[in-house]
Amino acid sequence: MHIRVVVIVGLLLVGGLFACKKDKADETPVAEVSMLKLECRPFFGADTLQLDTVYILNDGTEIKITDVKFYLSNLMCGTKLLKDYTLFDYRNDGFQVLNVAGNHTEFSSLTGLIGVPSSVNHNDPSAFSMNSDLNIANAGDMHWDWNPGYIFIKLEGKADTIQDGVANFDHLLAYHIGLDENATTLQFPTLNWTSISNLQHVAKLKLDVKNILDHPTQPINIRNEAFTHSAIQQATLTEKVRSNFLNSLIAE
Amino acid sequence: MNRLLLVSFVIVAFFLACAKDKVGHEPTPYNLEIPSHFPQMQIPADNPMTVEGVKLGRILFYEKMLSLDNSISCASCHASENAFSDPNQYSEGVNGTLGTRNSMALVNLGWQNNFFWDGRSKTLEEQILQPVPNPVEMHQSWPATISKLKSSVAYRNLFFEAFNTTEFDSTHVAKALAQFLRTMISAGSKYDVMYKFENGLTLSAAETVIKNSVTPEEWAGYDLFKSLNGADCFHCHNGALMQVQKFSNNGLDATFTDLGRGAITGNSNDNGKFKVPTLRNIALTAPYMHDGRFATLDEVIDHYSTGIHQSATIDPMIEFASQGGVQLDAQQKILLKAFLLTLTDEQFVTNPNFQPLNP
Repeated sequence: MHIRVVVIVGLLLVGGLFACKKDKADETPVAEVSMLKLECRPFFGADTLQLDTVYILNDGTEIKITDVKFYLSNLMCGTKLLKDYTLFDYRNDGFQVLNVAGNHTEFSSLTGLIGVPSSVNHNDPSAFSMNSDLNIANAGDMHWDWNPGYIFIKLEGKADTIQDGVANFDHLLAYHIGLDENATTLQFPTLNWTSISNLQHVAKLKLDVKNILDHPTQPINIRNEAFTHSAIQQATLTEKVRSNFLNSLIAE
Repeated sequence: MNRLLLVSFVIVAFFLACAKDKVGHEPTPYNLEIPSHFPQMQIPADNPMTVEGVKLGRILFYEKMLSLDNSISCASCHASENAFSDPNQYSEGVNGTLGTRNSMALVNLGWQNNFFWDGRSKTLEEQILQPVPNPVEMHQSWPATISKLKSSVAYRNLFFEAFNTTEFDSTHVAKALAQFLRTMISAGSKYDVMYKFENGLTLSAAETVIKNSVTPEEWAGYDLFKSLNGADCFHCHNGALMQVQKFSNNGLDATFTDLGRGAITGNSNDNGKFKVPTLRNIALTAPYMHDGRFATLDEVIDHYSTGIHQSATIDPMIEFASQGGVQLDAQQKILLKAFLLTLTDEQFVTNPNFQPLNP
């Protein structure tokens, strides 16, 4: 009888100890995910572009770039989607275009859109999920509520157009490209992924801002082509900026 | 038999010893209603909205014990009748000390990315910690403030209900106030209906009535507001929040006595830049600009029309800076002002939930 009681008590205590044991959920090994990082490095000619820094155009005009932003959409390799929408914001996010889970071998090339597809361009910008770059909280000044839709490409700066030795950057520049008809198909036939750790690969794009302005075949004369908001009367400049931007964005 | 009883007792005692500590009070989740044309609000994970937290924040907002001589509360410089701003150019702190900037209107703070004119705080909770010890504002250390609050049985109970502790500190005060401030949502102006209509969003029957009451002058003013060759305001003031989240030099001065954002970042390219404020309730929040230099809306319109000063950091969106501004004529100024008045949200400024709990 005595032994039986001791055994029962012992079993119950052991059972109790197990019942009291903390859950070990936090000790479960987390599956390691392969990540893909796409970067875009803005240049001004041969130099990495620094915002608010003086550069010189072909005609000797001194210029400062103050903002470079653009949307890329439906980034895919074949039918495999890398990212639906992403906003490049040089001032706030540096080189980063996207950082998503994925296998680099599945994205040896890339197609997509500079801008936002018309199917979503006019949706309520508050209705996108909070982690979408299309949500108004993330889009910020890249959304036009007055002409509902997104600004696809934003390039802003200021120039000193009088070469008198006095730095007076009072000639303002603002190139805002939007509207459905200006969404531009993008193709990178080859994307080179470099391993930066066991689980992360990076591919790099290059955007030459000088080439947008000093384009060899259709340069922008910033003296009289300083602004476009993609209005009808600005269509010529809008098209120039749009196509120059496309020609200036390449995969490294 | 006795042995069995003893064994049972031991086992029961053992399990009781293993039982979790009991939670004293579980606050009630607060259901924050977000207007249909607004984005969702990011609520910090470490400060979920609760009914008790919001109530405590509301009481603290009107609590003068937060100041050194019990003379001022948050509401002293953010009065509801002024759309939670201060009609004085500079707010008066304890002992009559004056700041150097105009009090910002408190509205839709749950969607802001930066706080203060110079954006020196990144979160609402962080922002709230500053006015209490600031010598030109409430001028009272946090330990002294907490000591005062702890001497009140009522506050000890309120903090216990909100945060399940009587050992509260400045972070709990900040969290409660932040919860209350996040409830202060303004989305009931005539402009909201105009915005929804313009963007093809569904209008309720009541909103349709409001839409039909918008005058031709107000619509014309809205068009001017959005026009590239008109008032050109929309680059910095648009969307449901009537602002973009950025810092801008809007051409107030050619040289700067207040560096604004530049003093925070140390970057000379930020000199003279200040947070772009919302235009909501703009008719109620005079005076205007970071230093309250303009007493009336007319003066503000005149500034953008002909008073722009060039400087090294002027916002490129001030497109007509080289000619001093957008050059509105007298009729255009009237129309623009008519539109700006549609931004007043009477429901917001008279909302009983934002008034003192025990007036």
